[in-house]
Amino acid sequence: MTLFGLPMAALAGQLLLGVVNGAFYATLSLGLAIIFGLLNVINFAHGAFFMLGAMAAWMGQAYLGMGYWTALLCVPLAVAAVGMLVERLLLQRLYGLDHLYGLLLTLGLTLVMEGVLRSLYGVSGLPYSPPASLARAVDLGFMVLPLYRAWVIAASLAACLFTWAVIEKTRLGSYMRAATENTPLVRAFGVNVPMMITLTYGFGVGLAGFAGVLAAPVMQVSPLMGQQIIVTVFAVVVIGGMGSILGAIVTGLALGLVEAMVKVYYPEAANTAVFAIMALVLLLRPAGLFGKEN
Amino acid sequence: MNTGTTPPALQLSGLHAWYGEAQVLHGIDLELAPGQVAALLGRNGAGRTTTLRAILGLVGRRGSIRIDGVETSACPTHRIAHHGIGYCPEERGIFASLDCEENLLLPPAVGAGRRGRKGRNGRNGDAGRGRHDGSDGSGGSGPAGMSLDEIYALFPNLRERRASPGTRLSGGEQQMLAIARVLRTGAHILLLDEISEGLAPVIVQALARLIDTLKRKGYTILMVEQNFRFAAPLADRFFVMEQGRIVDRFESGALASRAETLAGMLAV
Repeated sequence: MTLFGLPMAALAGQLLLGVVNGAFYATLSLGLAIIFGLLNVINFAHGAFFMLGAMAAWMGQAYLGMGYWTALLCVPLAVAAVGMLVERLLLQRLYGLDHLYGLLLTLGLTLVMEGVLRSLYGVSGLPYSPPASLARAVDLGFMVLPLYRAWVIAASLAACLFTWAVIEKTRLGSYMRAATENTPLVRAFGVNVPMMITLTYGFGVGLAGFAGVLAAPVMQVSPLMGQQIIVTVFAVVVIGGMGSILGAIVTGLALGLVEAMVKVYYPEAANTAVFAIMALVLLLRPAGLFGKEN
Repeated sequence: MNTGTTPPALQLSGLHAWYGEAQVLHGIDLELAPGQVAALLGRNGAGRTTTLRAILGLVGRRGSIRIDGVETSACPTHRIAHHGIGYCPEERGIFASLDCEENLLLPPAVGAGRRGRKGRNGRNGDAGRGRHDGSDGSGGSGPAGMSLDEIYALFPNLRERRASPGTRLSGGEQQMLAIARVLRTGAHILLLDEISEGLAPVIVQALARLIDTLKRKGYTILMVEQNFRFAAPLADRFFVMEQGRIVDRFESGALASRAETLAGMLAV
């Protein structure tokens, strides 16, 4: 069976890869969006925290014999803890200044984290295998579905939906939405906003760490894996519009798919397609597809 | 804790405040007994709004601020409300991304319970905690926080509009919401900034009745007002501000004799 001149199975396989990438884009851009919303910081270090998650999973396995599931639980918490430390010690001093300072600080942090790990482990990919229970594939008839990839998609989407539900449906989320609009007033009401900001940053980068662990078995674990993905994720955020939760999720998935389609039909443009879309969106709707025009 | 005399609900002494480099308040002294209603009068830019913001630590300030006798000028902003302060900002501060009821439920309970029993009672609205319909109040001399039902009985419009986004409400409804949400928290000292501004006369009358009700319930209220006719029948004490200083203060009994000078002072 063929579709648009391509065997169905090959097409489906490419689309699956697209959705997997899209799930990572969604999880990462979601974290960027909530951090930007509350802290007004463009967190350039997001890719480095994603990389840190994958590297930590690898180190846990290599040095401590830590299994995948334990890593999936512990590593995001550890990454979140590092993030909260960064927020308390460094980022907190930059609030009220121009965006540029936060961007520069987080860029610097990225270079430090990548540089240290690079000098320790080099740049060639380190092997990390999926858990045995997910290391097989099922034949769906029209395609062969590797179980681990299905798990990545399900787990990322669950994390995104969980985040969305916390922000839209809980009391904590209403504090966050309100503080995003008017921080001083929420503080005047007696909410400990500084604490909430620290937790939000921790949660956002913890989410990146979670994505990093998920990515470890499907991508090359290396100190450079963060910078490869973060550039695309920033494009996703620009296309979706800063500060929109649902926008970040939908755009992330959609662009993963678009990228995969381009890879199938015109591979030469695979790396530029997302940026072409970004340029188009910036021209036609500068606030992004889901952003509010100001 | 101390002798039988009740400390003032709110006492400012030598309060100076700045916006960046610009000094806005030059030594404010002001005292409010529990249950008193006071009006801060003056022209725009006289420093009335800044006085409220300084109490909450939203501007740079120096000097003493005592709430029920407790010095709060060194507290971070988010702790000050927990001394029982409810704040209604001039721009109303209704959140667009929250619906009417979420706006209403937003401020965490701050009711310090019994006046004079200072401090924390373990209720600091740390993110994620925060309590629901302020059904507390623990029977002190201050008014208890109102339950959601009581609020809706007082503001029936808000019940009808509970699912509307905050900023879709009319100006009057937004003002009602801004006041209602601090009544829920159990705050016993209310800082109200220009609540009558820009509203239709019939709404202003309803607000006057509301303030009167709150006064009889025992709230201590400091209100910034441009509308002298609104404040005159409600307040027990009046403070007139000019250029960051209090230039005149008098009790409601002296109102009639001051009417003429005031008219001159407040003219824009």
